[in-house]
Amino acid sequence: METKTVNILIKIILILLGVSFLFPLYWMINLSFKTKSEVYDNPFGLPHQFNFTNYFDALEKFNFLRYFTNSIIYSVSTIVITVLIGSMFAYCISRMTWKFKGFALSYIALGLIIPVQVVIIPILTMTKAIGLKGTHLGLILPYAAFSLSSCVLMFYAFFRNLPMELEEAACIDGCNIYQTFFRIMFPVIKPAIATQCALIFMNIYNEFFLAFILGADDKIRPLTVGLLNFFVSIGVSHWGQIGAAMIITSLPTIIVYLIGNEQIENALTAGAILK
Amino acid sequence: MSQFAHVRIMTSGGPGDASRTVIYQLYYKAFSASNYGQGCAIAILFVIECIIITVFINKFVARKK
Repeated sequence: METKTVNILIKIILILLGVSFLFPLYWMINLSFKTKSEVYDNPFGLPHQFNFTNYFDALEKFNFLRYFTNSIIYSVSTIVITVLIGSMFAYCISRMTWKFKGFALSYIALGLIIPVQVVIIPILTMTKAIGLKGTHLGLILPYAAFSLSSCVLMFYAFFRNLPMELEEAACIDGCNIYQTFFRIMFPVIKPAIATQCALIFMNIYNEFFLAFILGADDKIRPLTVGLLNFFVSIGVSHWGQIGAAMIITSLPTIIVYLIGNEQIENALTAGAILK
Repeated sequence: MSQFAHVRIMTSGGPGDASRTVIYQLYYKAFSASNYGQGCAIAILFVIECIIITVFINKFVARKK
């Protein structure tokens, strides 16, 4: 009897939590269909009529396509760089013996402790000095560098569990070290690569701080910063358009999640068993 | 710990400086007041703080094991 009431209580709490998570989403969708005055007259209820003018206005003022391409450029190139370099490095420290192997591993692990925000000033001065400020590369390189540490550690854990016989067989069949890596090892760690792709994509797509400071130029802004700028430029008067812009911005992520939610969930739980 | 975006969007650190996080203070010092040295000092203090907390957590978890 007692466990039953506890169960019901837990269920009620969980439902309340779920509603509190979903409510902003509902509100956002709701806002996007309301006209300027209706937002104030009727803030919580359903709109009287569904009109899509907000979306057209928002698309006109909010340069969605440019910001979206920027976001995609950042995430895809970061994924490519990080996975390529990270897997090679992880292979190096897990399978080869060289003098500073342990040092290299702990150096990479240091990247997990230091947050991006702390080194923002050196990064800014460095990108300025090299002349990368205002280009896409100036954002991709820091992104890749900061995704690298978790990526390397995960690949390292993966490589360690692989049997040595794989490489021995490759060696006997006459592969050199690059062929061994790209033909044998790379396909074997495909699940880890997929996980990393999902993780890095989510991180970079939602990243705000670096983009906010380094992406001052309108041409290289990703979606997150673009949305903030739209928000500031339109003021707090026209909530309908803001809601529409937010819906447009979050649609790609929602679609990606609907397509690959299994992969993403696997990615998130894989991080827990890293060590 | 390193929360920034929510503070920036919701309150810009206000009212006054009541809702600033460490990172927002860093941003404010370095970019709004263009005082890079002070910003770097905040950054270093923040790293030290993070390392201390990490060590504490590690010890705590290790003891549990």
